[in-house]
Amino acid sequence: MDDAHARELLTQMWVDQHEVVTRFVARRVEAGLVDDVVSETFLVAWRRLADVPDDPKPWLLGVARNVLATHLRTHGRWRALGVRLEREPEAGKEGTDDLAAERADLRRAWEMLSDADREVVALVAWDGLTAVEGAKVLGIRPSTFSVRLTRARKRLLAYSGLPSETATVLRKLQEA
Amino acid sequence: MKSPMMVGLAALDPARDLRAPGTPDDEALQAILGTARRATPIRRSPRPAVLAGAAAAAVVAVAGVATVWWPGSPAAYASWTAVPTTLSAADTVARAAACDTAAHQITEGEDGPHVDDVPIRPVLAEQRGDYTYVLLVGEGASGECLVTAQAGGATDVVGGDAVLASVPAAPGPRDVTTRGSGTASWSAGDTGDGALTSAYGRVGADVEAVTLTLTSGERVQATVSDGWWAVWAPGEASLQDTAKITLTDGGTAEVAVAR
Repeated sequence: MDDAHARELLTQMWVDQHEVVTRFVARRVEAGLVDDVVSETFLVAWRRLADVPDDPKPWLLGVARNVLATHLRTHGRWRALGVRLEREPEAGKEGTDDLAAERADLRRAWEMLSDADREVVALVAWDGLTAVEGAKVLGIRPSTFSVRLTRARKRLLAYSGLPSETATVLRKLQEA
Repeated sequence: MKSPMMVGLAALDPARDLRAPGTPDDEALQAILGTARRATPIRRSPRPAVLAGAAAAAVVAVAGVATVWWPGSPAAYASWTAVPTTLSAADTVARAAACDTAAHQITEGEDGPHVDDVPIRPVLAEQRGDYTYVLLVGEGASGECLVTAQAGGATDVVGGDAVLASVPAAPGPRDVTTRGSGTASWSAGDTGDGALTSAYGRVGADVEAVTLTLTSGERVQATVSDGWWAVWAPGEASLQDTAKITLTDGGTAEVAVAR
């Protein structure tokens, strides 16, 4: 591959995928690290242009995930690669209607999920990936991804249906 | 897929309102395009696999930037030799320049993990083919570092370190102790050669040589220098966990070197 062609390819990838990758990373790491991780991800793509498949999105997100894991390990947080949640709104901000109550239930349920469950759900619900794409990001078979996703959704549903006191007790048990 | 639950979840997306379109003029893109596509020296970190065992209080990778695994790495450690070249003290310091100078201890705290740095300094370096192995030690801590020479004078550095909960007692004059042993595997980048197995520790004053055996049966000579011994070989779990030690008076003994 000659240099001009390579530059063209990477530039196109940057234009097409920069926002996708940035959002993916922003969901998983503090704001201050986002730009570095995104740049490193595209740097890897630049060095390995020949390896990048025709549909670069899952590949790039898989690389971003590895870069993230390295960053978090370096900062002494190598067990903490989890998906973050929108910060909890201040009391009253979210209103008091049914929708707000459901959202609070969902938030609580989300916090009870394991990191592994959160990851598969987030890949679909937030990153907008299909099971096949999500499987590529995680480096697992699509069937495995689908099974994990189904289980994670079931748990999420079960947790969000719990009365809040029961949920609190359950979570404390899990943390103990 | 758009169940009410998924719709509800979308509202909790922390990046919901984030917009970050990329344009051909972005400085970050230009910076990437300005780098060489190949043969850029990178610093990679290993997976925290060295020094398995309860005594290793914490094991963590050294600073790394581009630990990214992707299939298709070349054959591992082609130039490795069973007999090392021991490097002089001056060369040891020079080769160790690229290695991390601290081991990292992670403790889980209320508000997340804390990392303490324990200084380590090079005590031994040896060369096997294109690969220089450096052992670094400090107060109850140790680190290993593998420097690979690249074309054009660049080097590729990987390393791992550990802080021990308790430091083993010094060996008797005719004995050795093991500080660490096990498989270190790290992601293969442009030049990564994959997993290796290493072992290292202290030697008594009367120990002249330490020889281990590969699982394939081949003998591997460890480096003995300044009261320390160390050895490594390509592959996972590739070293047997006994060693033959040769004493200055010509005697030999079989010792366990697992940790």
